[in-house]
Amino acid sequence: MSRDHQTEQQQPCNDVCSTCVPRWVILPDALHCASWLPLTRLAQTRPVVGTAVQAQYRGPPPGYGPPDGIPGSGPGNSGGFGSSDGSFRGGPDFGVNKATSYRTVHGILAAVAFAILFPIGAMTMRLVPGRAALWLHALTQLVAYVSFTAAVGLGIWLVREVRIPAAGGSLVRISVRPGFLGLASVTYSVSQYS
Amino acid sequence: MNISGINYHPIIGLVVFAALFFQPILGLIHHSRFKKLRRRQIWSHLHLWNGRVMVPLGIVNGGLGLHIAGATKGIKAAYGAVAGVLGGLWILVAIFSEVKRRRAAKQTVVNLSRRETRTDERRTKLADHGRARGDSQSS
Repeated sequence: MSRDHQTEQQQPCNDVCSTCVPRWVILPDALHCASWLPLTRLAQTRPVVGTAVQAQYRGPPPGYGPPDGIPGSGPGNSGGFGSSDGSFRGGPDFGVNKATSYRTVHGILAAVAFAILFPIGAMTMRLVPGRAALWLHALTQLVAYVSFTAAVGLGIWLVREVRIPAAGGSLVRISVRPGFLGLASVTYSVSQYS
Repeated sequence: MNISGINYHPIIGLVVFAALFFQPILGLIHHSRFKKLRRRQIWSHLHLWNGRVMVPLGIVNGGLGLHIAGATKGIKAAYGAVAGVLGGLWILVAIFSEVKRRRAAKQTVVNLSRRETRTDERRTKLADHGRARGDSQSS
């Protein structure tokens, strides 16, 4: 099914995207691109079937796996996202899998730092009695900052590496609706994971 | 919802990252000065307010990141709940602690002035005066 879409849309994509000059394209234009279209089609039409692993994603590209790198085993496993037209810098080997897992880890590290560690570390100074307060505060905040530093590193990697649309797009610009940003429709929905 | 334009998520993230870089340094300076003077100096307030501004900003940035990544409601709710509860607790603890601090400081000032007037009026001995000073230092 996805293969049909790709072969169908390969030509318009090359026509449009080879002449893509602007760094960003608004959604309707971007939809001309073959690498995007199957995703959007899939997002709309793909039934939640197959393995639980496949069902984690709303609109995954064919052959698309979960963040932990297990390859998808559902139908339409042949046409890779990054390899179809080289829409990502880094060549065919550039994995959406890799980028997605990096993004997930980026989110987890930063969320743990900001939602848990930094507030707890701030409170230790007030609540812990004696000199222990100082050291516990320093230790917690330092661990939080290290976690945040790792998240920043991954975030910088994502901004540098992910190019959507292909012609010089950047995550510093949002040109599409949420869920398509950056790692185009690699929306990770745990609610469907069961 | 359609969001187009500059993606503020990485920008805010880098600003917070840069600002929090100075926290350990400010904290160390604050500590060394506080140990000597037993009073908050400019470093203390910079350290306190840098954290109070930047950490909530980072929490908001996390929500923004989840939004532009198209995270599910469940994940957003979980993040909001954890960040809200711990952030709220932090605010409460900080307020209570500050109020307690102010009260203690006020009490010290009152005690001090009371003793000073007494010493002025009665012109007590030097030993008495020394005890009052010792009290004020310890509290």
